[in-house]
Amino acid sequence: MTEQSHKSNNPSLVDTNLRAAVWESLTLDPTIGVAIVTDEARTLWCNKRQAEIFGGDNATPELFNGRLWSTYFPQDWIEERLKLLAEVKATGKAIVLRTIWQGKQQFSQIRLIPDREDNEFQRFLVVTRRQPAGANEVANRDVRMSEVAMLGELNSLTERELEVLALIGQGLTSKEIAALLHRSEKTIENHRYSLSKKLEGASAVALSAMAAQAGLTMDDSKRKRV
Amino acid sequence: MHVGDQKNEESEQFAVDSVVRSAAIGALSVDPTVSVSLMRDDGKILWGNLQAAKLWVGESATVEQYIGRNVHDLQPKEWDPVREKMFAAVRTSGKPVVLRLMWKGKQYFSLFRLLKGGMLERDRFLILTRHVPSSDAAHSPIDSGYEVIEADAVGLGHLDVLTPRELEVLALVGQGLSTREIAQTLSRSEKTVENHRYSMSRKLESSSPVRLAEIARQAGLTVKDAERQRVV
Repeated sequence: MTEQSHKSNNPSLVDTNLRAAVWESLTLDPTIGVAIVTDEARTLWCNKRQAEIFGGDNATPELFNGRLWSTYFPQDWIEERLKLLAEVKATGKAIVLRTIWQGKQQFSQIRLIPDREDNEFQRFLVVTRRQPAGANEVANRDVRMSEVAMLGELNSLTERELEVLALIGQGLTSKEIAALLHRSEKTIENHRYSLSKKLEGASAVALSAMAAQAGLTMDDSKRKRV
Repeated sequence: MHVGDQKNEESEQFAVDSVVRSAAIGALSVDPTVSVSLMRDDGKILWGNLQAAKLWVGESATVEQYIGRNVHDLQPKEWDPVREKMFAAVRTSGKPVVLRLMWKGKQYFSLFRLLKGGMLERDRFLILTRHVPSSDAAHSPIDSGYEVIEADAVGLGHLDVLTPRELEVLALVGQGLSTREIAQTLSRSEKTVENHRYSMSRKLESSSPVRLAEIARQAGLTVKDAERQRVV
């Protein structure tokens, strides 16, 4: 099912009212970050949630609107995104990017806004959402993995601990984790203990909930930290 | 409304034109986490995305199998009055209204938004439905300040094998409570709660307490759901 055929099914349905309603639904949703960005690495506009995701819980859109990314984001992170914007512009096809930001998994859909060609910059719509572990969306979509990870409060963890946390988040028991990583159960228990201490997660259940929220994979333990 | 919100609305008016809004429809139509339906007020599905087809027709459904159908044929008949209530609430308040429902053993929130019809055109509703696990409460649509109506009949899916008592315990497990806290909340002994946990683990074939907690978290049940009428 391609997107094109969604539209061709009902060309008459996409009227001004619907466009306005969809836009409102998207931008007022407390879980969805929405931004309009340009290929000059600038954010033209974003909603409140987008500001919170990238600037912390008290951030407002004014921090980002009209500003260049270099004001806030690491250079590696910016370059990776500019490459993706260029690709979306060249192919016209939307890309989904998975990033670890502040220690949590998030997915951003990057979509071309079909502007006139003589514009001095190209606009893109970016829709971002945090996604806990267990969401099966990655399997059947073309998702790009960001090579840089911003671990936030998880930055105090070692590579090994991050691996264990990723597997806890996927619902594995200590025994299963031990088998998978070729270590002893005792070692895994030690990692768990150290994780609990570092993350102030008192119980196994709390740690598992935290791990599920983070939505990490084993590969994330090896990514470049920013 | 905060001052900042208003300022952002002004810059939104400046930055957002109809081309951007069309892109937003494109973004939503392929979003794997949100079901989008455009429904006429007689229940006919005018448009929907793949996720909506999967949710209401079946996992392997296509949008062609969803668009053009009537919602009465896709959802339990117990929900007909709930939907009417939603339509009425959205029309009266002039604002979107949120419906909380349990479907296939998971909590969903649907945001209903009115697209007013005209002389010759019936009203339409744009409905966005999303699965909300219990731990996502911090950013659930409940926080958005919209009125929330709860569907009083629940679709329990694979959780239908559980008794009302077990469902209560599962709801509290999902909210992160310990066995002791659950016992206190429900005024039962810890031993009884342990028994419920054991019995649930067996029925749901979950090998560990952590896994049961994960099932419970995904379900997003409330204690009230335990006594609600069940639909299939």
